[in-house]
Amino acid sequence: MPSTDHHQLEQLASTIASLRSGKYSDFTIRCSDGALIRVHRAIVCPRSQVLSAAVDGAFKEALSQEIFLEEDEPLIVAKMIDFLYCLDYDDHRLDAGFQGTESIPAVDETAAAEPPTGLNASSLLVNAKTYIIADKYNIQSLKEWAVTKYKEVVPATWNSASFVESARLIFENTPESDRMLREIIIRKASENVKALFDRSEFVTLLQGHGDFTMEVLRDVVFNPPDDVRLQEVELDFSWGCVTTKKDKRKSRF
Amino acid sequence: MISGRGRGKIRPPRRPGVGGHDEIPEFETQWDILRSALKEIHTKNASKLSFEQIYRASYKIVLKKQGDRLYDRVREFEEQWFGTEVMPKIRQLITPNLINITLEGVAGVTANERRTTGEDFLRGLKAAWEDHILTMNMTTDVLMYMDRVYCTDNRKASIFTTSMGLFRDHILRGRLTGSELNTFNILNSVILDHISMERDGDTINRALIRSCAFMLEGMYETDEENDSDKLYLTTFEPEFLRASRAFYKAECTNLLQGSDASTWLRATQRRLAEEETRCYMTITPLTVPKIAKVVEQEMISAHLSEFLAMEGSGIKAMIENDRYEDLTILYQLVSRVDQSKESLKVALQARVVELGSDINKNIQNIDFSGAAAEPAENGEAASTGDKGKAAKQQTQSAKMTAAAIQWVDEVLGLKDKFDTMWKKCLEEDLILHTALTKSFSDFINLFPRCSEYVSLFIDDNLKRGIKGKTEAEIDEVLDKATTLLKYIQDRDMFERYYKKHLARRLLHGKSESSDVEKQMISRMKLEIGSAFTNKLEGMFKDMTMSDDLTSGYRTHISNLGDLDRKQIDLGISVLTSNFWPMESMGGDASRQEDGTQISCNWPSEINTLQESFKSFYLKERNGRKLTWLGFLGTADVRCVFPKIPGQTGNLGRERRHEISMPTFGMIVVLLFNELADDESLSFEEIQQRTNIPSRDLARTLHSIAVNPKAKVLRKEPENREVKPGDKFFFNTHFTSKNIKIKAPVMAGAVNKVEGDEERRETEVKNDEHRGYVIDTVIVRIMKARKVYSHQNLLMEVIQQLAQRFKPNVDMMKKRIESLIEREYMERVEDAPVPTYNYLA
Repeated sequence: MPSTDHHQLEQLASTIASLRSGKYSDFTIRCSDGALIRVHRAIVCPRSQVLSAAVDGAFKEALSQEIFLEEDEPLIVAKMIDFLYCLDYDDHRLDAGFQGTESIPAVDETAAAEPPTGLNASSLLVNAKTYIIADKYNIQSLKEWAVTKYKEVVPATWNSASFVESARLIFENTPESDRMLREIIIRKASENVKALFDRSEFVTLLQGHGDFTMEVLRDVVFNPPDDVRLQEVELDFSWGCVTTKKDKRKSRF
Repeated sequence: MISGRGRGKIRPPRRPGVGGHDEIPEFETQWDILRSALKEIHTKNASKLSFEQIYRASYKIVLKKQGDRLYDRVREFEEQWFGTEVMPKIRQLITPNLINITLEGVAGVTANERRTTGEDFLRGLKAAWEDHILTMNMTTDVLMYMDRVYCTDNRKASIFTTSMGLFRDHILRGRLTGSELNTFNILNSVILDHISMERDGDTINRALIRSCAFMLEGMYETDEENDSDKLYLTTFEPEFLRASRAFYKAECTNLLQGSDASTWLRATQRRLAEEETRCYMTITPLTVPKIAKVVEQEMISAHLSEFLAMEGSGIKAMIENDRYEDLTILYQLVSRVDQSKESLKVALQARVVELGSDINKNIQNIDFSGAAAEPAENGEAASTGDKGKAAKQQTQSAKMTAAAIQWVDEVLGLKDKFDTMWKKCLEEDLILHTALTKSFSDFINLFPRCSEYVSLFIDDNLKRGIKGKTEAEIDEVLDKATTLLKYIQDRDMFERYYKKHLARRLLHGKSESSDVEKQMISRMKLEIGSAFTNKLEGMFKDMTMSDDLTSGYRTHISNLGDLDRKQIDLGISVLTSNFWPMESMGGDASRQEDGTQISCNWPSEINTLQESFKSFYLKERNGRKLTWLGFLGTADVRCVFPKIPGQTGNLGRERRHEISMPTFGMIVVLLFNELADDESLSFEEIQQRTNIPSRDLARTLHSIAVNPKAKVLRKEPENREVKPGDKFFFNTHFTSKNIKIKAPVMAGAVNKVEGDEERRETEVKNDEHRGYVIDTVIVRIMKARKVYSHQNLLMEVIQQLAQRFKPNVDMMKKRIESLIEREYMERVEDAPVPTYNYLA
């Protein structure tokens, strides 16, 4: 029985994914580059309160059945729509030739400076921007998914201009209270603060964004980037959860 | 570098931190967009606006951490809007008339006028509210990011909530120019005015009021929006309840003065239904229980007892005239206000006792006329009257028995009436059932002869009543009997009577069906317990045993082959003396002072027979003592009357008759075998020879010498009374059409109502018996407790005896005294409360 359910679910998912083509669509998203994405209100609106307000309201969008996302980057809008249909999007991590979105500064020296991991650092930017657009249109599951993907990529790609750029985007375009991606970026920056200081973009960022600088500094001071110690702290914590102090002392011997 | 062009797309046009002074214009730019959009929204022109653009403007402001400024600006905007656009329109609707109505109630304005102005006002307010909701929903949509980020992070009420508060404060609580009133006061008074119009029978626009109530339900006292703080609950509802209370108070007073209880019941029922409908249709379901309570208090509780006491329509009349519908409504109403239904309970109980006492009184009145003839009845056998009087006595006692049956029937009728009512109108309420049962028990036990009458009722039914009835009908009769039995407190008294009546039924073969008798017994066993029915069952056992004995003895005799002996066919009833009520069966006359039986002189033939049976009986039952009770049995005597010379017809022939007479009668008649036809025996001589107690003898002689049907003996002087000194002859001139003749049953063999004297005797005996029972119980308790306080002892005695009777406190005290005298127990001298000590 469970396998049947699973099978059915998969079938349903693939059916929904096939709608990404725009067939039977009843709503259009127009991007700033003029591209039209045809979508289905039944799929898009339940996931995004903002889009549903546009569709349901008494505004222009409701009459024309079209929304013009004037200031959103077309590529990222497409990622968002991909996710709504397929529960995933391509962040181009393996696409070596991909130079990210149009806004990514082409950094010639990356090949030399960044570790040869085979992962494309500009995927950090794609994920960060997707995170921002998910926040703007209030799609919680997409935010979580973008964080997951960002976390997967960052260990291999942190030493890059893209990492610095993603940090800047997050600090400028999400509310301060939104900690999900910030924590990851701060942690990464504080762990590798020495290496990053070699990057002029990083220094510029520290200079320009006091809140970012302060948070990195705090992390450096209170959570020294020592992997071993970090592990110990984590272990200690887990003991504290399940054992008494006495047990803990014993097990240390 | 790809290009710098795209960077601007995702980043704000001006980089932050470049210059703080730049942010203000940035904010103002976005706010300009928003403000004009809000204006369009409020004037219902939103369809021209791009949602995306407005949303983006607010999104940017919030991202720039300027949510607080945005929030305040929106607030200001709304306040301004209320002040300049909404409120003036509402003010226009508030006419001086409306203000007057609010201030002084209804004065000089026709209902129609009031309704029109009121409706205009409500409509205007409703429209303002609906517009507000509509625009605020749209505003909330475009400011969604602010609500989500700024309001959540700073724990601010959402913009929607805030705007609700603004509406509340600016529109509803907005002070009216030149008056202490605000819109709220007007609103409340208009709605209340409309409701009161509807209560008076006018038609109003319910939907309109419903939407205004709904508006109040949608707003709260504070921005926290606690459910208990709904404006509806805090402002309107108390006013509504207060007005309703006043209205119903007046209405109920009117009804009390001008109508009967029946009208009141229906009016109240209608009002309750109306108010409920009003809550659902006109205001809000939230108020249903509260307004119901108001109506209940004012219409039901406040004057319930007055309505119940109403002459001709109150509870008395309802019960009297079987007004089931009234009673049903009454029950429903009373159950609403009082779970214990106290008032109804009291009224019903009083009614039951009243009606019951009437029945008791009626019967006692009949009793009284019977009691006047009482002494004569007692002297029935003592020869003090004439024929007419005796006949009258007979009918008198029959009448009294009929009265007993009538009493039972009436009680059952009353019970039926209340049962029907209980089922039909009282929803088979358990509390009331208990109360009714108690009142029935009360008035039945108020009637001193209840035990006797109930037993007589059963007797009557088992003798005659069940003839030709189906099983179901018999069951019904038994049910009735059982019901009554349940009510009786003095079970020992009942047992006494039942035994007496049962003994007569059994010994004289009067019982219609032994099956039904047994059913009755098993019902009593269920109802009262086996201790009660033990002896009754014993009586049945004796009867069956006797049948076996009779046939066994017959076989025994025929096996002996002693054919020489004059055959006397013996049918015997061996009664266990414990089970049978000897004294009430007439045995006390033949009992000596010390309680032993006086034995009469049996004729020799009978003596032989007795001896023969005795040896047969004792063969298997050693150590038992048989006492022969001459006063109980009957004997079939074959008499031969010689032909009378010189007579023709019947008298000219020899006549043989088989006469069934009392056993004593047989003894007497046998005396005459030895006499010549013209010889006589005086009453004294007969008594001397037979040793039959004179009272029994008088009775016996009465049935064989006075009664014309079986006048075997002739008496001098020839009258209807048997007196000492009378002479008796063998009646040679006896004739009868029948071969078999039954001498009439002795008085006392028929179950009927006791005379006053008998009654007193029975009571004395019963009290005596109770004394023994109490003694036993006290001793048993003291034996277990050793030392026990007086109070506790009395309580436990009462408790233990509750199944049998209700012991009298004086009697218990006397028994205790007597037990102390007999040294079963002693007083504990220095106890703080009176206490006894058991002496082993």
